[in-house]
Amino acid sequence: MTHEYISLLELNNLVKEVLKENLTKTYWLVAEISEIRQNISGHCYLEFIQKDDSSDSLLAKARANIWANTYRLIKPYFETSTNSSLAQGMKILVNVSVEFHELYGYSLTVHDIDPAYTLGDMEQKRTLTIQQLVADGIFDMNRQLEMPVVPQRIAVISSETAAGYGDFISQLKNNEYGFVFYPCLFQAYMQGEDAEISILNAIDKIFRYVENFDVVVIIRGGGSRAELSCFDSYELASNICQFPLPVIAGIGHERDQSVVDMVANTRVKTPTAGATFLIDKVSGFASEIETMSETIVDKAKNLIDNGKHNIEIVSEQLTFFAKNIVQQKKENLIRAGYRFTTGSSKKISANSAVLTEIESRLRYSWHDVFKNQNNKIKVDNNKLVVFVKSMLHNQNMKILSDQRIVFQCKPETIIKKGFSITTFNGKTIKNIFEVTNGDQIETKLVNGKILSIVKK
Amino acid sequence: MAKQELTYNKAFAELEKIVSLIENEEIEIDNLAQQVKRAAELLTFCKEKLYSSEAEINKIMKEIGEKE
Repeated sequence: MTHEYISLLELNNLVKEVLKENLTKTYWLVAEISEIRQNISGHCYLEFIQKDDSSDSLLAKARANIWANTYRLIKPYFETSTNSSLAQGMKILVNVSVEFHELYGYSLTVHDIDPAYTLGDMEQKRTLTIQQLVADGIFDMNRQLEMPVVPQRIAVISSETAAGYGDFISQLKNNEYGFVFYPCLFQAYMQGEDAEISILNAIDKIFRYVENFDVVVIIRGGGSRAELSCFDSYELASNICQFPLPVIAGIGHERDQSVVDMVANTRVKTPTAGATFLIDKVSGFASEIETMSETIVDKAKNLIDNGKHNIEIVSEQLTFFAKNIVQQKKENLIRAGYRFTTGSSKKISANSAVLTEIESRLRYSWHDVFKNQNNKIKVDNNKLVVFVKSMLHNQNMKILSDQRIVFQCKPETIIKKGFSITTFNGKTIKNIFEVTNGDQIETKLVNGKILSIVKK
Repeated sequence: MAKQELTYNKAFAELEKIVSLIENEEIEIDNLAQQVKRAAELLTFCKEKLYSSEAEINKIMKEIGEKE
């Protein structure tokens, strides 16, 4: 049996009819943009998705488009309201109708957009980021860093082609004071999908050379005011919070502050303002040291002038006192001189009389002394002769008596009295142990010698 | 004074000290010349750093720029 069949086109037309009949109105739909592109004719093609809140897995997906005539209105409206352009990852609230095309299938056509929802969503993300930074205890870290007194070595995160970067550099180089700055560019995309990751890379690179820099400047400047959501990202903000150098954010975002603006050490509105900030900082230092220099010169001059003045006063006083003293001494001298001349002649005559008297007295007394001494010497002389004579006599008597004793002790005298001297080998024997049996000994008597042999 | 590497901060602190010494006239006139001379050295150091480009820093910046 053959089945009745319809063509694919007929079937698709059926689906189209059913959808059209049942889904007549438009719907306000919340979805996340997973893809977005604009073609040359100004139509915008998107892909909407819905993720599971907890697991992040995809729950639904649909193609969508915003026709050029609608997109021309929606785009600026959305951007001025949110300061962001429609971008991947963004959640939006849109008014859609359901379409079915026999060739292209199911899709949604966007008719209107409510930026408030996206704003709220972004705000919520921002709030979460801020809360997380605070909870981590790092929110204020970069803001608490002290800006160097003279920030001259500047790591710049920007895109070389960005107008803001050019403004920043030329402002620095042409500063009116002639200060030297050393900017060094670390390239990064400042907008688009890759902005966040490329800014993070730049931060990492700067960190490697951190000791060569005083300050980091992030400038976006120029270009679209949109696509700032990366500056609300936790990853980027937390890197800036914890960066060891003060970060100056010149992201150029008039109305709202991004989280990066909030956590950066210093926030400036434009790149040019960033350059001005740095120049002012340096000029502040320069004028402070200039003031100190002037103070030192003035005060030193004062001190020297005071010193001079003091010396003058002292010198005047000195001359005055010196004059006085000299005058006084002079007067004293004159007075003394007068006293001397008048007093001295009197004294001289008086003294000379005294001297004459002393002289005559001396002469007489010398005679007496001499006479006395002479007599005394004569007496002493006689005494000495008597004393020596008696001493000599005494000595003589003593010698005679000693002579007698010596004579009686002579060996000859002693031998005569019966004593004898016995010798052995010419040596006098005084002890029995000095001879042994058979020794020939000699005994000396008064009138001869006896030779004997020892027998013990 | 020990020969340490001078920085803006150190130079500034030392200048402040000299200014306060001189302002409060706590300084012996005999030391004045010495202090003023030191102040002049510090000022010259700061001004040179502020207004004259240092070849060494330029070189470092260029090297970093080329590497990255």
